[in-house]
Parts: sequence; structure tokens; C-alpha cells
Amino acid sequence: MRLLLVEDDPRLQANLKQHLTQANYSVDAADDGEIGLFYGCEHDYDAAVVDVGLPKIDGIALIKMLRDKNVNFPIIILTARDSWQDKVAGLDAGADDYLTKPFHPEELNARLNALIRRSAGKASADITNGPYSVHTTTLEVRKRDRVISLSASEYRLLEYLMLHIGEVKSKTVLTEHIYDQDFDLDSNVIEVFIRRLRKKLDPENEFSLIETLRGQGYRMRKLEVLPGDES
Amino acid sequence: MKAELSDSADSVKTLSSLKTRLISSTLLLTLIFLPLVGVGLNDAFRTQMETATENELSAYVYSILAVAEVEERQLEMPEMLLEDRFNLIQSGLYALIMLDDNSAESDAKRGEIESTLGWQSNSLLGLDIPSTLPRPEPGGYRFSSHFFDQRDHLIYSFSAVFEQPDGDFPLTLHIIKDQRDMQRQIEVFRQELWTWLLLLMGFLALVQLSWLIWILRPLKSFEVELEAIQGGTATQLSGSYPAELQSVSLQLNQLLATERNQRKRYRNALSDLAHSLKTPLAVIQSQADLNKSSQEQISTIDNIISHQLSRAQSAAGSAWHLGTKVSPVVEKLRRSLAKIYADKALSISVTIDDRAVFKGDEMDLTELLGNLLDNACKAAKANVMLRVLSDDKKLEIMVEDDGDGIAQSQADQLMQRGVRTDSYDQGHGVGLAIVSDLVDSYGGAVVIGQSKKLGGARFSLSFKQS
Repeated sequence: MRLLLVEDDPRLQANLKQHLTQANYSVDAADDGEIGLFYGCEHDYDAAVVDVGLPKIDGIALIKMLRDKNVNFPIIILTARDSWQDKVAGLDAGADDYLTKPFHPEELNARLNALIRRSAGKASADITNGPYSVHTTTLEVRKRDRVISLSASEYRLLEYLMLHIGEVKSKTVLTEHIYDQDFDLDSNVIEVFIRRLRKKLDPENEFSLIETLRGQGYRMRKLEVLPGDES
Repeated sequence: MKAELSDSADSVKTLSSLKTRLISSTLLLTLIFLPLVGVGLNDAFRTQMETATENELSAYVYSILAVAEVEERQLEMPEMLLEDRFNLIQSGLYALIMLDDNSAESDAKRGEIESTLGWQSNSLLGLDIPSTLPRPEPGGYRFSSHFFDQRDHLIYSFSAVFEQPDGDFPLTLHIIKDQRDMQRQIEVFRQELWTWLLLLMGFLALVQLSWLIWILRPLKSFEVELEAIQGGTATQLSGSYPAELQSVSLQLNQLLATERNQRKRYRNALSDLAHSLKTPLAVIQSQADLNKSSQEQISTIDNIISHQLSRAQSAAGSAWHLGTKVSPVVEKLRRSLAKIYADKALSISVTIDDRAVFKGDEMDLTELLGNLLDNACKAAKANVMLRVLSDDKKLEIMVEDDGDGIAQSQADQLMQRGVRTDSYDQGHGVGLAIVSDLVDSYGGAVVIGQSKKLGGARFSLSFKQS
């Protein structure tokens, strides 16, 4: 999952970036509203964390501008002004949730998780597809009862595909959502990760879980729920 | 007793209105002064008519005496008189002459003297002679009214003495006139007078009322604009007013603007303060290796800042000119809470009187309702209910949920004044302490109980509206 973090305080930005990276997100950080607006319009993020008090363009205005440009990823606002009028102003401008400073980073993590799931139309923290399940808060991947261990990059790729079952995703899109902008990887890396995922999840190619569409990208197939898959 | 008191208070209130005073004084003038003029005019006309009749009758006396002759103690009168009405039977104008029989006994009292009819005009034929007639002193006259022939008549009596060689020949001449004509004239005059006076009264009342409306119109619009400010639909007086009100309106506008700007500056300053205090706290809290006691301390500092800033921001002290419509605020909060609690898929039912107005600042109302609803949404399993009732006297806000409810001891502690600001109840946070403070500062009341409908907690707030 790729996140946009717009926070002007360098220490808070650094701490949050570190925390979110540990939680398996790839994070692009912006110091002010202008850079935030540029990143937001340029990349397709899975979610954004925006501080209200920003230099150049304040947080509320930034959210309004992004929404005006039809940018639809979920946005969570961070605010020190914890009056309800400020919260309402932020949410009315187009934010989806708010968090008042100071907050536990775990709380931010949980809220982001819920927002991303919600925006993908998933109500629960567990995303399932046939015998496979991904628990987005514990980052645990299972095939029926068996836990499958994945690297951070593999997990990100799987979670993204699980959140978009049935949709075709190009290598470029997948790269964007899995790495932050500082990475400049050639798209063959995605092929490598897809191969590894297939090997770990479906070694016998029993379900043809991840399909390759030549020239278009990859698609996670929607699997039927069979008796015994629900555990 | 109470009803009487409030009645008298109402009447005092009614009289204290300029409009009522002006209208009642105008009506008094029209309804009392004009009828008095009418009565006076009517009276003057009647007096005038009587005087004219008296003069007319006295003229007849002289014309009749001029043709009367006494020969050897015998009164001689012509057959016909000059005035035709004396000659026509029962014409309404009569004359008769009474002779005093005992002219020789001049010592005797006049009252005892017998009179005999000396002569009567032809018009009196067929009528009974009135039995008692006035008898003025010789040379004198009397003008009086007399009931005769079943009607009121006016009688002019004149006593004269004809000097004869064999002694005086006293007689009294009575001219009698039917009052009907005069009364008819007076009646016609009276009717005309009152018709015109009533028309005049109506016309004057209309003219005066339209003057009043014209004069009071600026006051009315002043009142309407003030109400709009109090109701929260306007922030300034807009109309241009006559000189007497212009300076009041200008100064009031200035006062309102100053107050509003000050509040805004103050709130911005507090908001900046919050930002500059809380961002470092967020930095500390976002550190990976923070121990539990430090985290608790941060949470305490955060609560104190939130609570104290919220107290400082309340506009309750200057709320006289503030009014906020409740339903738009509720609508905004409902939208926000639906986003925040999207995962819980709560049903938030709202029953609200569209005209309900909170006599205070919008930010304070948003804070009150936001905290109450947020608290209810946190506690609720599936349902939250908000009801806002309002009448002229009070505004009631009730928030209920289907959560676990609040124990009475906990409820008491929550709403206790002066609860230490660093000992917030973990379940309810600083929000309810802020609610309690705000309600207090607006002179309202909070009751915490159990929701009968939903089974969870129920918070009832009530505020006086006047």
C-alpha cells in the first residue's frame, strides 16, 4: 500500500514515516501543501495522511483541491484543533476520518487500515478469497489454517491484489502501489514477486490464483468459497 | 395567583410598547374629544333654537298687544290676526288672553286670583284651555315649557295692565307654540352632526393609524433585524434608519463587529496555541521507544489543554446577540459522524424542530452536540437517537444510545462541578467534561439517565430561551 503523508513538522514526519514503513506501507512524505497537492495529483495513492496546519496551502484547502481534481483515495486529517467545528470542516472538505494530535501511531495505523479496506468495499479486517485470507491488521496470510510467511514486498503486492479482486492491474500500477517514489525499479521486479507469490500460495497451480493478461497486467481471480475454506 | 401575576406582567409589557402607547393615545383623542365636541355643538344648537323661539314668541306678544283694545273694561280683539297660524285651527301656534277678575282687590295675593279667559285665537278652537298657566308680575314675562294637548309646548307669558279711567285692567297674554317643529329641527341637526362626526372619527382614526405605521416602520424593521441577529440569521443591522435611530444602529453594528472580530482573533490565537502545544506532544508520542508512564502523562497534558482551551473559547459570556439554528449544525455533524463511524454502520435517527434556535454561538453548539453524539456513537451498538424540542421558553436536546448505559455514580461524577481536570473517566474522555462546562456557562442543565427506548445512556440538556 502506498501512502501520501503531508506533515510540516520534520520530526513528526520522520517518526510517522518510520512507523508507517514498519507497518508495511510505502510512504511519500511532503513538507507543505503545494508538494502535497503535486504528489496527490501525480500518483495514485491508496490513502493520504494530511495535517491541517500546513504552510503554503493549508490542509483543508489541500483536501478540497484534491477532491476537486477527482482524486478519490481516502484521506485522514491530523489536527491539533480538536474542536468539532474544525473536525466537521475537515470532513466536509472531503476527508474521510480525523485524528487529533497527539495520537498513538498504532491508532493511525488502524484507522488507515480501516479506510483502505472500506474504500475497496471490504467491511472486515479479514480479506478472503476462496481458501486464502489476509488479515490486514496483523499482516497475517493464511491458506485455510496454514500460515504462509511472506516478505514485506510480497505482502504489499498480495494485499493490493486481494483488495482489487477481479481487476486487471498493470505492472506500472502495481509498482506505484508497492514502492514509494524514491524507488526506481524496472518492472521486471513485479514479475519476480508475482512468480514468488504463485510459488508460495499456489505451488500446484490448483486455483490459477494470479492470472497474467499479456500486454495488460495481472488479475487476481475470484475463487469460489468451498466447504472447509471458511476456517 | 400565579396567573394573575403573569397577567399583570403582560399588561405592563403591553403598555411599555411604544406602539401601544401611541395607538391608545390617538384613539383616546378621537374617541373622547370628538364626541365631546358633538355634545357641545348639539347643546349650543338647542339653546340657539330656544332663544330664537323665545324672540319669535315675544314678537308675537307685541304684535297682538298692538291690536288689543280695552273699552269700558271690555277687551276687544280683531276677528283675524295678521299671522295666519293664529287663525288656522290647531295650527300649533296659539294665543290667549287671561283676564284677572279681581282687579279692584289689588292687595290680595296674585296666586289666589281667579283668572278668566278674555280671548283666544281661532287656532285654539276645539282644544281645552290649559288649566294652569304662568302668571308673571305685571310688565314682566316668563318663558317656559308646558305639557298641553298631549305634547310639549313652549309658552311665552306676558302680563300687561291697561290703564283705564275707572282703574287698571290687568291681563296676561300667552303665546303657545308647539315644540314639534323645533324638536324636529334639533333632531335633524343631531343626526347630521353625529353622522359627520362618526365619518370624521373614522377618517381621523385611519389617517392617524397610517401616520403611526409610517412613523413606527423604522422601529419595526429595527426590531425585526434585532430578532434576526438574535435568531442567528443576520450578523449586522442593515437598514438605513431615521436620524434618531441611525446612531444607535451604527454603534450597535460597530459593537457587534468588534465583538465578533475579537472572538475570532481570540479563537485563532487559541487554535494556534493548541497547534504549537500539541504537535510537540504528537512528536513525543510517535517515538517508538516511549514508555507507558510517559504516554499517560502525554494523555493527561493533552486532556488538560483540550478542556481548558475549549472553556476559554466558549462565547457564553457574550451570547445575548447570538442565535444558531440547530438543524444545520445537526445535519453537518450527522454527515461527519456517518463518515467517522462508517464501520459500525450506525443508524442515527434525528427528530428536530426546524425552527429550533440555540441562544448562543455556533461553535459552542457544534461542540456540545458533537461531543454528545460522538460519545453516543462510541457507546452504541447499532442505534443513536437525537431529539431536539423547542418552544418559546426552552430548548431541549436529548441524545440516547443502545450501549451499556452509565451507572448513576459514574453519571454524578461526570457532571460534578469542579471535577479535577486531570482525572477524566477513561470511557468518556474529555468530551463530557466539556459538555458539562458549556452547559453550565449557558445556564443550562444536564440530566444523565437511562434511555427507555434504546436501553443505553440518555443525556438530556435543557436551556432557557429567554
